[in-house]
Amino acid sequence: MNTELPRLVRSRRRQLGWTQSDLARAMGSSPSRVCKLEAGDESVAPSLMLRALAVMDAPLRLEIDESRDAFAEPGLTAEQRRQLSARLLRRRQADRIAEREQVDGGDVEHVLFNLTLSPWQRLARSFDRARRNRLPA
Amino acid sequence: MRDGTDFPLSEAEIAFLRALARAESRFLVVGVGAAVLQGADAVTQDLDLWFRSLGDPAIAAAARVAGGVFAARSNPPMIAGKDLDRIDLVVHCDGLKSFDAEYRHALDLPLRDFSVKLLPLERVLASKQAAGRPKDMAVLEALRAALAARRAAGRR
Repeated sequence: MNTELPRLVRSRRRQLGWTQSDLARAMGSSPSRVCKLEAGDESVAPSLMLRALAVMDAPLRLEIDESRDAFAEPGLTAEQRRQLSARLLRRRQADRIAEREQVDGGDVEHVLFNLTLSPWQRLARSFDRARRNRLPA
Repeated sequence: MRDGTDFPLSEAEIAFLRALARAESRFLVVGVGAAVLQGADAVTQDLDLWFRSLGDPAIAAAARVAGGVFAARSNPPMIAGKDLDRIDLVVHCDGLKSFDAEYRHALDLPLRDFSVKLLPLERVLASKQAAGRPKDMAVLEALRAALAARRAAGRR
């Protein structure tokens, strides 16, 4: 959970001398919702945090922190970036499916990869894994 | 194959399946192999085939075409021969309807210049649940995840 946005909201509110109730009134929300927002509660959507900042007239400049960005890793080739992007997409899709269907996200992610292969490629990989499982360590 | 792995079946196994298809022998690919072909993340060492009747003369004929033999009297019945190691014959499938009922709803899986019939993933899951052996129970989660992912991807 990103704690930056809640921190910014709290900091700006205090800068304006507003209470949480003031901010709630300005946003058309409730004090309890603002309290959750500033506590970084996961039920609060990032869009609400951005609206809080907009309501407080906070000029924002959003940047991606390249020092922590996997896609900005030096020496990453275009193909590696493409594979990382595909993997990230599968991971996010798998998380959503797993939560909705109450199944294991890791299994779902592997299936989503397998669905990019032909059926016979899938079987070949499975046979290969079986063979490697049988090999002595 | 494009991902660097060899084709999973030998030429003899393909010849066996082709001969069965040409003879219009009725069989289904079942078991974990059927699930893997539909995307399940599971490990298997063989391809299970469920025949409408093991008395079908096409089985022995297809085995001969593939350079092997159909040992109908062995327990269990089996196909034997060079490079025919990964095909297993299934006599009975727990938890499934009659062969004909399952065959009606089977999926077509192209293989080179012919196709074989595949037991749908939901039916593989039903079969594994009914069998209830530890190795069947161990694969259930993988099958459920595969079903969920296929539904989300809009696959049958």
